[in-house]
Amino acid sequence: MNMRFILIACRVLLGVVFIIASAHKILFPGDFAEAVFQYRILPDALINVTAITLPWIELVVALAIMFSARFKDGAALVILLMLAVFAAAMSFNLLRGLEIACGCFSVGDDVEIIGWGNVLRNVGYMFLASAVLAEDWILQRVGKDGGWRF
Amino acid sequence: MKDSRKPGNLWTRALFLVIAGGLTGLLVNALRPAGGIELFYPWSMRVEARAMAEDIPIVSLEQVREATETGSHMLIDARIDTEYQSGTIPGSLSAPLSRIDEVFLELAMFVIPEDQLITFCSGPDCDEALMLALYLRDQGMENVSLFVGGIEEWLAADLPLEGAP
Repeated sequence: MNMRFILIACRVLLGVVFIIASAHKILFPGDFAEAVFQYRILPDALINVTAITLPWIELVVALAIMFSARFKDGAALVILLMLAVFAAAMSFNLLRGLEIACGCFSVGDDVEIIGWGNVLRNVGYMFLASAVLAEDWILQRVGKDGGWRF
Repeated sequence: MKDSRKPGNLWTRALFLVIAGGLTGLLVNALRPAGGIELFYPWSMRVEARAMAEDIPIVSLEQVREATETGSHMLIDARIDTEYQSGTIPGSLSAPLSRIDEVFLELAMFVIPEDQLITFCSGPDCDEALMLALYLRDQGMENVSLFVGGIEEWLAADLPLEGAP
């Protein structure tokens, strides 16, 4: 399969995931603030600011990674860092035994509770973001026959 | 090799996206019809946070529902008498915080320190149940938990109240 096509698929997948992830949080910032609070990591002063700004950052990087040739690598870097922070925050709370709402895709009542599956899913997305970030490097090393050049 | 079509370096482009998203979020929040959410809210003053800081365990609606069915815990309503009489979680005792010293003397006749107690009040914004839990613990009760959602969460789950008119 063409490597360029795989990398485009990675960008589209990450973009769609982050648009979906941002939508509910943008619509219900109060519920998302509650989810951020439940993580018990940020001080009071940063909880609502995070709840207000983070979903929009997710949306902007989702659009950039899908549609902007100039900003796709910057978007991939932000996505990679966000996923690393989210995975670390979930792992921290899982290790200290808190059963809290993930705050990943939906907020409010009837939400997904954090688990190691969420952490693994984030690590998977981090691989995709890393591939987009290293797109130029990867394409330089893939020959026209699809083989690697070192 | 640097791509001349791309503005700045990688970190600058990433920072630009973060700032663009963040500013958009702040702007949209300010322009929301209901005024958005406040930039600062004293989350650590919330009942749940204070309970955790005081090492009072928090129980879920499901655990409370199980307790009403199995009798594994004693449920204690911290609201005032008139609220208790207007309907409470089935099987609950009344121990209004406003006259707790008097009520505890009655309560102490049929509870022992090892009993499993759950306190609750009207909902997540009231703090009488937390105050009651702290009081009971100070009086030597060893297993006091808090149902933060209280009557509000109980009713939201369409569960019946006992003694409701």
